[in-house]
Amino acid sequence: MLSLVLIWELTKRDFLERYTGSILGFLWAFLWPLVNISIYIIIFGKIMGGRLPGSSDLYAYSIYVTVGLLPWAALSSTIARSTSVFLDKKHLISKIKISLPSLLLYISLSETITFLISMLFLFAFLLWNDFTFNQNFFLLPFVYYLQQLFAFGFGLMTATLTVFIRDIKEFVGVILQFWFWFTPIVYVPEILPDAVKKIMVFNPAYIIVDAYHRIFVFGGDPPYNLLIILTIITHLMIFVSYILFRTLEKDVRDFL
Amino acid sequence: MISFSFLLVLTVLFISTTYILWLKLASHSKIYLLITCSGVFLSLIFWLFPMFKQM
Repeated sequence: MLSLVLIWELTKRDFLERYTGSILGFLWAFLWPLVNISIYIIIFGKIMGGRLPGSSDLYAYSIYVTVGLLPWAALSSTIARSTSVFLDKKHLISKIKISLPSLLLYISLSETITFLISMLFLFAFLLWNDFTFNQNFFLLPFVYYLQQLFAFGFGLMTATLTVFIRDIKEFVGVILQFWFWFTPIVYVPEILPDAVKKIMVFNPAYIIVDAYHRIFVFGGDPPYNLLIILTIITHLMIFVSYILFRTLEKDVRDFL
Repeated sequence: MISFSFLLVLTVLFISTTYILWLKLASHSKIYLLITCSGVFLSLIFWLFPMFKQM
């Protein structure tokens, strides 16, 4: 049975364990996103002088990189941590009757809190920079929900399989490395060869990051059609992952 | 032009529905229906949003 209290407790513990023993404690949960965003903005914008093609705005490239990196960090961390969550929490699984998918939900919640804190600082910077917000910003929760759902579906599949084949954890790490550089996060898609541009629409992370870029940087509409296709694919993937998980659930518990 | 308050209500509705939806996840019963609802709901949002904006 899924327990909201358990998910919340695991999330709290996740943060507490991360900063336990440090003087500033939970404050680090705010300091790290602040440091990261400051680096993206100062290093990429001021020191490296990065500019977006066709834009004279001093911070346009910094914002481009930041709004790409933040959702990518949430997506990749959720996938990476979900992949090994059954193994990491086997002491818990063997002791109490717990719904295994709820373990993935706590990871998603934990990464969402980090994402929200980061977004808070980004919005503060944008307000300070007299940024103009448009109606498309209301789509952000939906885009974020879609990306975390994708991570959940992907994570549930890899978490189930990792119990039997431990190499999958390492393999997912390698995939995420390639995936990052194959997604236009720190570079613009225009620099890619035509052949790569054509296959880029099959990259789910590209669709997600492109939506953020269009909303934040280009002030335009996100790619609605691609988002609808990704929504369908994501939910189909959750179906498949869930069927796989239900089929192997007993073996997963026995194996741990 | 669609009003910001309407969009805000839509967003709050979405978040609360999602919250309820995924709380049901591990109960196993009706899980496939819930996943389908989530997919349909999200697809509708992406499909209808540009039309709402033009209203």
